[in-house]
Amino acid sequence: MGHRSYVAVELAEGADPDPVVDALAGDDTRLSGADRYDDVLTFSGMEGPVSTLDRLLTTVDDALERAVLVINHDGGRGEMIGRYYENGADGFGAVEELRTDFRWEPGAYFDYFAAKYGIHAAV
Amino acid sequence: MPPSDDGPSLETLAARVAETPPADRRGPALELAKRRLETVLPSQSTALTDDTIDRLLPHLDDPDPAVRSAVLLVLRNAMYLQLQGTETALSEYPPEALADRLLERIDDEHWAVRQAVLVPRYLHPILAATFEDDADVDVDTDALSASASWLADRLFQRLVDPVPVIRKRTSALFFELEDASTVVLAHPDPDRAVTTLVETLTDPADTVFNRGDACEPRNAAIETLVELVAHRPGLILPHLETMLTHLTGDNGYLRFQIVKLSIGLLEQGEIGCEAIADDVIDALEHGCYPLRTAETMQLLVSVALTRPDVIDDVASTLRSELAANDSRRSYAQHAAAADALGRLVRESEQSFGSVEETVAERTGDQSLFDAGIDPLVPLAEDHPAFVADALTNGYEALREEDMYDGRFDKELLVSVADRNPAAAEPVLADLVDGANVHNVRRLLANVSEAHPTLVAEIVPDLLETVETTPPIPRTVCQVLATTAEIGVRIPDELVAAVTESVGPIGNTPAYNGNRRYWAVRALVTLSERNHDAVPERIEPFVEAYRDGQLDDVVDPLELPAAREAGWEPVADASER
Repeated sequence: MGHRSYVAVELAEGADPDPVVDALAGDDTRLSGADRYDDVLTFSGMEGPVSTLDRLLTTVDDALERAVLVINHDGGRGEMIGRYYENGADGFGAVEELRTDFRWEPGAYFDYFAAKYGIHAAV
Repeated sequence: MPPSDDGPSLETLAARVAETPPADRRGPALELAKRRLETVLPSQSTALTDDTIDRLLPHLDDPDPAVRSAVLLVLRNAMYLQLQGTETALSEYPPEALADRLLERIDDEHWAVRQAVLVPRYLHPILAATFEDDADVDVDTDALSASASWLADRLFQRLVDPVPVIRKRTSALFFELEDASTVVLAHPDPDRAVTTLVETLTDPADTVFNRGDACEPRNAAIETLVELVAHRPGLILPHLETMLTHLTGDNGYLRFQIVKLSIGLLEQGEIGCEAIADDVIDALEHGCYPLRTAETMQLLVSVALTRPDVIDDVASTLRSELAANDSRRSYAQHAAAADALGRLVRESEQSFGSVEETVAERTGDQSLFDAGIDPLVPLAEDHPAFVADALTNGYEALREEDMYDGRFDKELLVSVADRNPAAAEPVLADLVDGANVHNVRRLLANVSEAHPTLVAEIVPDLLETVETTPPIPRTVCQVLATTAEIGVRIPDELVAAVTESVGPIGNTPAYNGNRRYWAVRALVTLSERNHDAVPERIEPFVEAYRDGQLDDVVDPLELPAAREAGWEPVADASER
């Protein structure tokens, strides 16, 4: 079945979206996108696991203000992980994580991060 | 581990939400939502009690949108558990009452709240019961205050929500319905609903790969419009012209669906061919007419029959299609193209080339598509050069290593050769220089079993192309075994190399037993034809073969006679 991942990134002010799209949805990744709304770019695809997505975000963290990723890990009954990132005083990093130990509705995590941080969803 | 072991219960958290003054309520509400999200399964936590639900419900109208969203996340889950009839649910709360309260927030002023209402997993049962009377869904629509008309109106508003993900989720809800045109028909103003759908065809929202969670609005819109044709074609007619402009757009799926919709209108007698002819021809000239199915190809023919100026174009399009490699499709498009071309030739008064005339004859009594016949087979008799060209192009893909099966498989080449060897000969002659590729060799080996004489002609070229140091590939040994009977002269050095290939060699990959079998078979055949270079020590294999002890699942080295004749057994299990 493969991992199923969804990413929403909010560009930093004045940041160029092209390098971000290249890094997240270029030939080397299994994500496609980006669909853009306001300053948020959204991606989805079969990329994973969560450490890979984390690394992909880090490669373009200068251009990012905030980000949410939600992944349904493959294998057994799966596992869903959601992370919210911010570019804060200590640089870009995960601020909060949600975890469910089976495959579940990715939109549910996006809804939580939308309620709490006001960031748009990828799905 | 149950969450109650490492944190406060949902009940406690919900009580905190209710007790906290509005200005500070956001924190506990989000904490409650997070707890609910991380413990969704009934086995992990208990469902909410009626009292708790009653306590939370007023906060769906909280002044803080974060509180409204957070409470919504919790209550929609409660509704879901009630609808599932979860045995551990503590609440007796009717899901319909919860649904009504959640749906009140479907046009909330804050996007995050609207978004939280529109999760397909939770909302689909309500829609299925409201619009489709779905008996599998345990929702009592009489107990719902939200009427079908009210809900349809709201869904159409969300289909054009400024926030793309809300439009995508709404689209997924449309998609999940058996027949989403029921939502149009329930709408207080169906004309307006259809206008919205037609406008949605240009919605750029994109990049969603899972239609269960969300999908592209334009896809949901066109599917709904196609479904509507069967019920109220009159609603579509005023928009047909606008829709047809998409026939030259760059979205192939949309083009295909619009042709499908036009076919529906034609079949119902709502329009005539002339209403769509110009746009169909435009698409054809732009090279983007969707051939895809028998129906779309037949429509092309119907249009051509009313417009003699395009008959040649349509005929040549269908002629290339019947010869083209559509192996990556699950659908035998080539056979449908032949049927369509045949009809065009039969029903038109124009004269055609001889290939087209033959297609017309061979499709007159039967549909090749229905009969599962590849058009290249009946064409082989009279048009060997045309068929050979098509096959040469088709088998070219074998050199890419990544595909084998599909239209251009062993059976097609064998069937063509059965009909007319002259149509297959040039194909083999062309393929042989690609014989360093396994898939090409495999095809040659398979064909050589049915047509050894044909393949024998290319053996000298084959031996020029392939590596002839041991181990000789199984497929080459197979060709040698089948063609040696014809009397192809095999050089002594090659016979020695084949002989060496019978023994265990180095750390070679799997199927060695089978490779050894075919090496032995080649040697047995050569020995029967008294080839000087076949050594005496293969004698035990010749006898075993005659006695029927050898077939392609037997590793020759496992035979007792081989052991007695001094052949080394295979020592390492990995060699087997």
